[in-house]
Amino acid sequence: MNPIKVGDVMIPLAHYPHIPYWFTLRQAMVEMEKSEIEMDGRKSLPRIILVFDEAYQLLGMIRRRDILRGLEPNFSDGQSLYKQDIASEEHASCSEDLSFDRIVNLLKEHAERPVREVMLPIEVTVEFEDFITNAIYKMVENNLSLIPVLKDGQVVGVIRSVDVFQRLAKLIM
Amino acid sequence: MLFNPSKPVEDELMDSNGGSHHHDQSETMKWLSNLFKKESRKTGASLLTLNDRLRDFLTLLHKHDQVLAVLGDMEEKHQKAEPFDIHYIRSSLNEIRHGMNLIVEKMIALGGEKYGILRERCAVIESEIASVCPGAHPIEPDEFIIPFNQLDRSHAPGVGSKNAQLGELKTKLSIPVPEGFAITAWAYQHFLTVNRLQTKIDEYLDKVDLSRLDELEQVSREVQLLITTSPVPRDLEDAIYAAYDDLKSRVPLGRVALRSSAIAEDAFYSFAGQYATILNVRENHLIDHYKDILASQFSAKAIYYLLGHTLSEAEFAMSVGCVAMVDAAAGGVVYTRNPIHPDRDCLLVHSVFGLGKSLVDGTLTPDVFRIARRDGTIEKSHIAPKPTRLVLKNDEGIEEEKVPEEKQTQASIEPFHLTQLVDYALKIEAHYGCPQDIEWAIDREGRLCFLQTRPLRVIQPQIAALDPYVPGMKTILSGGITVYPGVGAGPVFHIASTQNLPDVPDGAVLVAPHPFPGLVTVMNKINALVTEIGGVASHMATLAREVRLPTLVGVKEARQLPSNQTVTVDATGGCIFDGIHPDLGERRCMKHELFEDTARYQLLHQLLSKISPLNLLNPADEDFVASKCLTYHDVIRFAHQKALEEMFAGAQKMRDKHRLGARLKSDIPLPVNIISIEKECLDPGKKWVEADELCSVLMQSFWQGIKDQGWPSQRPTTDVKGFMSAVATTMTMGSQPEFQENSFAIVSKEYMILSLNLGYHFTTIEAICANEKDKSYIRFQHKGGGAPFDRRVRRVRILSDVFAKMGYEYISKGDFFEATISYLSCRIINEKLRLLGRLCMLTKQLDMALSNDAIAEWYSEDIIKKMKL
Repeated sequence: MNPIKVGDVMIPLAHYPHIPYWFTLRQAMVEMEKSEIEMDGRKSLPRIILVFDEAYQLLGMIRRRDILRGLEPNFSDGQSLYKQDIASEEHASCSEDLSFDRIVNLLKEHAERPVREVMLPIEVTVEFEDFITNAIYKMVENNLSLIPVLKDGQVVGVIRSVDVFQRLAKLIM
Repeated sequence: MLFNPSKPVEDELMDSNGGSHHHDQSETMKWLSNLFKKESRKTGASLLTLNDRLRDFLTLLHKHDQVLAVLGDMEEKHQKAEPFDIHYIRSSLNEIRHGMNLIVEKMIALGGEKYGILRERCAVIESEIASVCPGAHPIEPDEFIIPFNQLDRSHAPGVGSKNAQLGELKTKLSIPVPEGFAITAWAYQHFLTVNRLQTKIDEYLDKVDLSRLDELEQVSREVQLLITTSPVPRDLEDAIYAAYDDLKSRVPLGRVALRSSAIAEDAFYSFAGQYATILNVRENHLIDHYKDILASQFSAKAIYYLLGHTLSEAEFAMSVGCVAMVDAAAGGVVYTRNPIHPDRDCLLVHSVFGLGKSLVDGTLTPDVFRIARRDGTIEKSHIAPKPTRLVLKNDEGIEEEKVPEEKQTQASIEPFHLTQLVDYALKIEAHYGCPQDIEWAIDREGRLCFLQTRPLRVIQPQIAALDPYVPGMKTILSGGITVYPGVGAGPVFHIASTQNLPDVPDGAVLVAPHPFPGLVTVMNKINALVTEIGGVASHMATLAREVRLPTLVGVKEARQLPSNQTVTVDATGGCIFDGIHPDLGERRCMKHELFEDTARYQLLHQLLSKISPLNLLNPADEDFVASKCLTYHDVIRFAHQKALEEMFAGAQKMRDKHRLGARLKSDIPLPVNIISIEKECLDPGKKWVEADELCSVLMQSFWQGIKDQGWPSQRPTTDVKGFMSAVATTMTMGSQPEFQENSFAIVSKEYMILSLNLGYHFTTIEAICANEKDKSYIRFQHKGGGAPFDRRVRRVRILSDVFAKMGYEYISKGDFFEATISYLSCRIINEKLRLLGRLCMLTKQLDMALSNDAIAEWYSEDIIKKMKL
C-alpha cells in the first residue's frame, strides 16, 4: 500500500473560501454559511476561512469561534455579554439595555469589525510532499483542524482534520 | 463641444498642420503646452512627450464623439425614413471622413505603427464607399454627341440624368419626347482640356472661402468668364453643328432649346432650376449659349453646394441637351404623388398657358388638378386666373404676352389631355418604381410631349400625435423620449430581467425599468415598448427602430402602469392612454415604401452598410483587433478603446511620473494623480490638490462616493500577536506590482476620465456632463482581478446585477465588463458617479471572496441594499 501524502488529501487553494483582511465578520459569516466544500462526495460547510492581503498572500485564518468571540459586546465594566442571563427576572426588571433586540443590534454592530482584529496567525504549515502522519501529528500537537499546505514555499491549499479522519476511517474500519 | 464650450478644442489646431508648432493654438492648448514645457526643463523629454500624447488623445476623443454623432443622425434618418437631401449625405460623409483621418492619425501617434493597419482598413472602407457614390467614376471617353434615340438611363454618367431620362422615355417606353441630342460630358472635358481650363478652375476653387459670399461671387464671375471667353474646339463645334443641322431638317420649326444636364443632378440632388436652360436659341448663338450653360454650374450658389458637399471631384461636369423647341400652347408638371401627403391616392397636375417655364419659375399661379390614381377621375380642379403666358419670339428667345380676357379664367388643359397625361405619368412612375416629378408640354397642334422626369421629393409624413383630448380617454402618463414613433396598444406587462422574457405575452405593451439587451428577442411580438430610463442612442433603441416598434423611453413613472390593464402608447406624442384610443387604427405605424424607393434613400442605405454596422463589440474578444475592423464604426470603437489603453499604459511606463499633474490630497490611501485640461481647474505649480479645489464636479462626485463608503480597514501591523510574515500563494500575482501604481485622472469642467488601480483589476470611468443631455454619459469599464478566473467572473456577474439596477446598459465577457448610461442631466450624472465611487469600494478585491455562486448572489443583494438602489 502506498503511503498517503498530504497532497492526496489537500483541498487546493482555489477551491477553498478566503477573504481579504479588511472584510468584516459579517462577510466572513456569509463565506461560511454560503460555501459548501465537497470532498469525496461528501459536502460540508467550512469552519475556517483563510485571510489574505491585497497581494494575495496568506495572512491568517478565522474560525467560527473567533467570529463569535469577535461579535461579543463587552460592557463598560469588562463583563462579557454572553455571561449575562438575559432570561432572568432580575435582568428583565433592571435594564432596558439588555433587551434581546438591543443585543442583536450590538451583535450587528460588532459584525462590522474587520476580520483582521480577530483572526489567528498562521503558525503551522505542512509540506505538500509530507506524509499524512506529519499532518496528523501537527494537528494533534497544536489542536488544529486545518493546516495550510506549502509547496516550494508557497501556499497551495489546506488540509483538514475531517478529511484526514475520513481517510483513516476507511483504512481502519 | 466636448471639453469646454467656451474654448473648443480647435479642430484646425490639431488637423492638417499636424505637429506641435502652431501659431493659432486655442487658449487651452497654449496653456497646456506651456505647462508641459515648463515641466520639461526639469524632468526631461518624457513629460513633453506626454504633452503631445495628451493632445492626441483629446483630439481622438473629440473626433470620436463627433463622428458618432454624425453617424447616429444618419442612422436615425435612415431608420425613420426621414426626408433628407444629397447635401445632407455629402456633408455627413465628409465630416465622417475628416474625423476618421484624424482618429487614425492620432491613434498611430499614440500607439505607434502597429496601428498603421487602421490606415489600410480605412482605405478599404473608403473604396467601398466610393464604389456606391454618384460620380465615383471619372468621365469616360465618349462621343461628343449622342442623339436621344440612342440613349437610355444607363448613359446618365456620360450625358447627365436629364438627357438620359429623356432617352429612356423615348427608347424604353415609347413616350413622346421632343427630338434632340446630348452634347456629352466628354465634350465638356474636351473643351476644358484643349483650353487648359481645369487647372485654372481648380486654382480658383481651391482658394475660395465658402463662408465669404463676396469672395464666392467674385470667384464665380472669374470662372464663368474663363469658360465663356474660351473658344470651343473646332472638332466639337463641327460635331454640334452637324447634329444641329440634322435636327433642324427633321423638326418643323427649326428652333431648339439648350438645357443643362449635370452629371449627378436629379438622381441625388434637388437642384431644380439651378443650372441654365435657354429657350428658342438661334443657330448663330448655339455655341455661345452652349458655353453659357457650361458656365452656369459655376454660379456662386452651385459652387457653394458642390464644394461644401462633394463626394468626389468628378462632379463638376456638364452635359447639355439640345432639344427641338416645343411651341407650347400649355405646359406644366405632374406629380405622381402629393409630395406633402404621399400616402394619398392621387396625382397632381399643374398647368399654365404657354411655355411651362412661368410655372416652374413660380411667376404664375397655375391651374391645379387632383386626380385619382386608381381610375383617373378628376377629384378637384382649381382654375387660377392666368393673365399672361410665355411664348416664343419670332427671331429668338421668349416673351410674355397677355392672355385674351375671356380665356384667362378657363382651364389651361382639356380633360382628354389630362387623361392622356395621367396615363403616361403613371406608366413613367411604374417604370422607375418611385414617385416622379414630370415636366410636360402640349404644342399648338394639341400634341402632348414630355420634357423631363425625375424622382419626386416627397415629405415623409410624421405620424401625428394622438389628440389627448378625446372625451372619455384618460391620459395615464405623459412625457418620455420618442425612440421610434407610432402607436401601439395592449395589456401592460412589466419585465424586470432577462429571466421573465419567456413570459411576455403577444401583443403586450412591454414596460421595462431600463433597456437591456435581451429585449430584442420579444420586440417582434409586442405592440409597444416603454422604459423608465434610456435614450435614443442605446443599442436597444437602434434595434427598436430596426423592427419599427413604437418605443418611448425615459418615462419616469412607467412602473406605476397597472399590470394587465389595456393601454394605448402614443410614442410620437409621448402619451400613454387608458384603454384603446379611437384613432389607433389608421395611425398604427408609418409607411416607408415611398421614400425608401428613392435613389437618395438607397444611397444612404448603401453608405450606412459600409459605415455603421458594429462588428467589434467586446474588447475582451480575441477578434477585437484592427484587422477585423470592417466599418468606420468598428474603427472608431477600436481606436477609442485602444487610445484609452495606450494613454494610460503610456503614463504608467513613464519615468518621473510623480511629477505628472498633482496628487489628490485625501485620507483615502489611493494615490491619484490629476491632470487638468483647463488651467483654472488646477494651478500647474501645485504638487498636491484637495478634491474641493478641483473645478471638476465629476471627479468630486466620484471621490465623494469613495469617501462615503470609506476605504476598507488598514493593514494589520506585523507585530500583532507574533504573526509570521504573510505567505506567498500559488495565486499570487505579487511579481506584478501594478496595484501599487498610481491611478490617473484627466479632468475638465465637463469631462473626466479616470483609470483606477484597485488591486489587480483596472477600472476606467469616463464621464461627460454637458448642457445638452444628449452628450452626457458615463462609461464604466472593468477588467481583471487577482483571484482565480471563476471568482473574477462572479464579480462581473455582481457588477451586471448592480449596473442593471442602476439603469445602465452593459456587456460582459469573462472578467471583462463594460457599462454605459447616457441622456442624463448633470445632476443625475453626478449622483451616478457618487454611486460608482461607493461601488468601487464595495467591490474592491471582492473577487477573492466569491468562492461560489451563492456567495456572489448574496453580495449582489447586499450591495443593492447598501446602495439603496
